[in-house]
Amino acid sequence: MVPGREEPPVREGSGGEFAAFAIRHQPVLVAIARNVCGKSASDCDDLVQDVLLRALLQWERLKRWPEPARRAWLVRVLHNRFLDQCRRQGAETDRRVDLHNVHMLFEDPEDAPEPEQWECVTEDELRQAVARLNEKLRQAFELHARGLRHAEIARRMNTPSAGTVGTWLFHARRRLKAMLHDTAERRRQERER
Amino acid sequence: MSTACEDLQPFLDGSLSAEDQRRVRGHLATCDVCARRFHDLLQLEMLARLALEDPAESERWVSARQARETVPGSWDDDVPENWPGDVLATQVPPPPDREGRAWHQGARRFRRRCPGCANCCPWFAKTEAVEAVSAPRLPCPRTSRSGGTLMRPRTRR
Ligand SMILES: [Zn+2]
Repeated sequence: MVPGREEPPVREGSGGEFAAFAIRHQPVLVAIARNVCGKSASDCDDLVQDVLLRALLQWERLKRWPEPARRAWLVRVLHNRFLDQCRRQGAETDRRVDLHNVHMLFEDPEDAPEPEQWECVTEDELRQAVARLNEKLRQAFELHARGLRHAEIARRMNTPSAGTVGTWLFHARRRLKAMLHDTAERRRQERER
Repeated sequence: MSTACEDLQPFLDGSLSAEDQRRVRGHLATCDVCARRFHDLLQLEMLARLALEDPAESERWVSARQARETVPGSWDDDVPENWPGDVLATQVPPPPDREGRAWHQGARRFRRRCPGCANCCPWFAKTEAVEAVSAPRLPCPRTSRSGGTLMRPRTRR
């Protein structure tokens, strides 16, 4: 939680648990959806709503999962729904969920065919990996993760070009992915032993 | 490979023109390779935004790393806690400010010479503590070195 931001009251019980989950993830989903959906505010809203609705319908199952697995599931849904949206835009066939095809919400193609590395990477492990990046990459990546645009990151880091920030982010992501892959792989081997 | 394949990160960051955005969306709908790469980017993005929303929390990890770097031998998590402290340090004494890092590199070199033989590298296994130092010094089957000179408890500086 960002200091100063009031945490909304959350009810007890499983409804309250879902509310807490949705309140934490919704702003991030919106931020990402805004970047990738383009100008269309309704596409962005539809996408986020669709994702959270599916999470609500699956909550009885999801709530028993460890946090990283739940987060990875949410991203899979986001990705699948987003690709759906991209295909719709190309083909003009509307597969939007409405009262006529609400059953689609219960079909659950979002389970990964095999476990993916992201299902076991924790937030602490990500913070640890970020701390190991070199200074420039780390700063750029942290500012980006807080929602700043390339140009604003460039300004804060006294760099003339937003393109340089893009390059830093590119390398930061590559390093992080490699480090987290190693972490996940080590954990998997420990588990198998 | 289309040019869209190279634009996935700027696309995710929302720094493409509307025209280029449309092109990438159209491409993602049909290119499985890019869709998979985009999936990884999304996973990292979500994780990072959740984990780094509190600057104080990430600052904590950076200071923890900096503190670790000043302790010889613990620059990297891969280096066992009880790695022999004076084996390589005597060859080239690292400058005080680079001690942790140099130590780690030394450890890497050492490990390449002897890939994890429990006989001559009691320190290789993280679970084996200093007691391993007094373990019988059987000849190493891979390098045929007894490891006698290495079998000293690590000295902390
Ligand atoms: Zn492609």
